[in-house]
Amino acid sequence: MSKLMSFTGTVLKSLFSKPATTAYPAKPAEYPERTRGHVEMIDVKDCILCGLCEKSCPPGAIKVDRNGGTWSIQRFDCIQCGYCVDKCPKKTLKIIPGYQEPGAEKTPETLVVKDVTAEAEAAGGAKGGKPKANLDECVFCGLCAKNCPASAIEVDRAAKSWKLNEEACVGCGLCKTKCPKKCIEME
Amino acid sequence: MGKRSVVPFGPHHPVLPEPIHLDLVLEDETVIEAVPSIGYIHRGLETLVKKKDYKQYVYVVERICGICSFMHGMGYCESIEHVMNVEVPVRAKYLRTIWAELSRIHSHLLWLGLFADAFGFESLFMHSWRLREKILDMFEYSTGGRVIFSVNTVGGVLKDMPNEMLTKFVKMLDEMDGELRKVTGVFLNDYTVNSRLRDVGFLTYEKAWELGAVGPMGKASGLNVDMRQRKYAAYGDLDFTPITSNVGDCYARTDVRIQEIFQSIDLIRQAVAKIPEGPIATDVKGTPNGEYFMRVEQPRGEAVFYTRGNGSMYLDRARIRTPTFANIPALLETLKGAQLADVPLLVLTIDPCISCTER
Amino acid sequence: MENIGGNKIEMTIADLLPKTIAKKEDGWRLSQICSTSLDGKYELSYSFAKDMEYDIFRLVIDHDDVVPSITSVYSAAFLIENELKELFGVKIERIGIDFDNKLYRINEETPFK
Repeated sequence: MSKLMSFTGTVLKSLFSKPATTAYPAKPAEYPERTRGHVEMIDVKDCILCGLCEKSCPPGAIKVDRNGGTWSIQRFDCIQCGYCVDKCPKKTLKIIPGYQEPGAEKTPETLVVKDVTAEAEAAGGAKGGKPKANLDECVFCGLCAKNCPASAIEVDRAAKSWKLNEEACVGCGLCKTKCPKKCIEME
Repeated sequence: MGKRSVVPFGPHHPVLPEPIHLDLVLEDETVIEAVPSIGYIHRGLETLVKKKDYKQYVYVVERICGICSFMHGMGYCESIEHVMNVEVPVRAKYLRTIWAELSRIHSHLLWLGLFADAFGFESLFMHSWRLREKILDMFEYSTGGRVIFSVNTVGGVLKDMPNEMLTKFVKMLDEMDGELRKVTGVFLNDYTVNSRLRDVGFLTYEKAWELGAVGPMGKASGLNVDMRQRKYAAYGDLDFTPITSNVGDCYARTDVRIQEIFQSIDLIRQAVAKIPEGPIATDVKGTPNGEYFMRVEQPRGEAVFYTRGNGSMYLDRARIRTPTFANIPALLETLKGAQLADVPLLVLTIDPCISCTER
Repeated sequence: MENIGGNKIEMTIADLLPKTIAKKEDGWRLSQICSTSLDGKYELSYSFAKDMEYDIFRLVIDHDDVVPSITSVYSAAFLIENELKELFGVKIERIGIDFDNKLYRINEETPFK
């Protein structure tokens, strides 16, 4: 059965109650903590310039320059998907609330990660290093292969072989940090 | 014999959320036939399989449409998981089901609002969308995005919803229940709304089956085409009966969608009560080699996801047949014999998602 | 028999129309038509659904083969066959409503070939 004027009650109630909308932007917006607003690097010192974030970015917003030692992101191309955060082997990227403000120009934001004139390399070196295992010490446990983000190492326990796929290796050095016998060196 | 004229409808029209063009052949005020014209929003997303590898492609598939975004991602991931024989953990299946049902509620509330706007009841439109905001808040709280969630991945889901969050969501849905019943009650019972919806746009059972109508459009004509009965994700453990109606007019389609909202709230309650502990994703290594046809029940109907891999990181083919694509011939059938003033209503009654249709 | 989500049935061009008519008389509805470009050939998949069952007709043709349209059986197929013709260049004859390559109105001819 149909009723006439069934909505009048709600209309009168809305007339005299406070609005359901917020006064944004006069009142600042409150975002929950998981909101994907923009990508930031937690600590520049942890970045090893492996370039995995650049390879995984769907729109190609991140650019890593290994020779120049810089990491840059084109903020207006970023789609806030968070794939780079998942792929980073050092977990040095994070995605936090706070949306990109509109602007008049599209310029990338560049961070200087490594001073290219410096000679000392921290553990897990990035510049031109490929891992080489000392096969006398190696126990073929396979931890290096399991942790390789590019799946470039092949370890066979039964055959006692350790093989590196040089093309796939990005020189991130995670294998060196994970080896329990400390028998991998980056050369 | 009256005079015949051709009136263009669209692509820009106040009721349409997305552009579609119809050439209406009219005799006085009655529509004789309609010729569709699509392609205003074709982006060629299916060619991107050659450029993005199969894991990055999840992010492309999610962005085909803003309303059914989560289910696109879910359908694609399930298709790849079947090709690669990956076992998804049970907790991930339940989480996917909960998010999918929340997507269904928000999509139907969006449609109810647009539909009310189409027949001129703007304050009802605003109230429906006010209720929808609470669901969007739930999404932002759990996944980080209101519209695009980016939480699906091949092998499971990326974010977890701890049990306190789930019970809070069920409480929010319980609080919404009273207001939902009041707003949807206006759609079903008000005199003016009834006079616009009843006996308009009939689609018989035979015509619906022959033209391949899916989703609520087919269900309102009596077809039982609910894909959730295929028991993908966690639907095998949940208890529900698909809703169908026998009448086949605009009122029946509205009724089916409103009842689906309440059925989804019930499904979420069941899923939250049964969800087990465990991991939320399995590690997937390797590449897909093979093909699979996956069908999911999106808010608008049955969507078919066909993926074919050849052993490399890039897929050979990803084909998505969205429900609106199958409903357009049914729309053209309901337009025959309708009045010109009812055309916006009938176009909206199929729940058109043209960006899904054209990818 | 690997599971691809339904029953795969190999088909030839000559068999297509008679088998489609048989499906309609049996109560199946048309679900989708898909085309994949592989090794210089087109692989067409016609899918039919009835209750929860799914049957897939698999047809492998050369670029120049002409396929009959099934709009005489399922009239709703005209949209999807026009899309195949325009984007893939599959030669389909006697489509019920033929848009003559003006459905999507794209600049490039048959980009998915």
